[in-house]
Amino acid sequence: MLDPVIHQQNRLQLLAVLYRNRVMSFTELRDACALTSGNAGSHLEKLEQAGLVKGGRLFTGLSFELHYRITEVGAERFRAYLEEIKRLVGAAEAGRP
Amino acid sequence: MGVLGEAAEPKLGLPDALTTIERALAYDAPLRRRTEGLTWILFGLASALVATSYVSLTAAGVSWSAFYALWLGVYPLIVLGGALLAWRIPGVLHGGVALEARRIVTGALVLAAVLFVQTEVAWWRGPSALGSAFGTMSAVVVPWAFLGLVQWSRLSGLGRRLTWAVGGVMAVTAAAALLWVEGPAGEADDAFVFALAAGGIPFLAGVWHSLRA
Repeated sequence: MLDPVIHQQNRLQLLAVLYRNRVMSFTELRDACALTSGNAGSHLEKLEQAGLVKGGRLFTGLSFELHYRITEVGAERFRAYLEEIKRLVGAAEAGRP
Repeated sequence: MGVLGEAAEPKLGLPDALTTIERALAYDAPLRRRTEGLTWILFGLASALVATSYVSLTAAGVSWSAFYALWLGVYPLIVLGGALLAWRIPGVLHGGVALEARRIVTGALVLAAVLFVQTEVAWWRGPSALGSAFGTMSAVVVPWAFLGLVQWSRLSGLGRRLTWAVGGVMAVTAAAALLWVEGPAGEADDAFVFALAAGGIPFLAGVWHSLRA
């Protein structure tokens, strides 16, 4: 079964972008996924509650920016999600449920 | 029935999930930052070039219409070149649309419209108004500086208060530059001041953003 926390369009997008880039600022993540601030914030909160990402402020020279980092658990669960997707695609090709 | 106040999440099909994963995994944040930085360095250089050319051309006795012909011809080409560069580099593409290219082109169009209106107003007031330092400052420097500030604010994730604080410093600097041009520096230093004021902010934003990549 596909992970219900990850298997949602916006959360999947956010987690996959973080899986690829590991750490990104909130602004970057929001723009990368073409989401509104509110939408990105609420989905990141859900991911954080599930322990898949971790938010924190980093000093970048001018200000303290909100950054998100994918956790080890998050990376592991994303890989498991990809495996499940692969299994489903393989099953669909083979014509079995 | 769902819980009151909690909207049901739409179902995500397998093809959509695959497309989402493919797009998201192609997003290279450091490359994108470098490209954005490079694009804005070009923007800063182009702005400085335009400001300098204005001062040089008017000093050489070339008319305003010639300057605008140059501006309208060269500047959009440089901006579009930068946008095309951003669009052509893999990883910048997002959702089938080059987001950054679209922003820059939109910004350039808005800027062109602002400059066009300002020129028309200044022209209507009389050619002498165009030649004044104030006219130049309002027509050439301020829109570019403002767009640079907005872009800097977006790239750096500055808070609203800090953005206005930077805006305030810029306004004071612009006023000081204006007084300096009118006063002790004289006409000979106009090109430098205008180039610095017009191109400095986006140029620095680009360099700073590239260094963070």
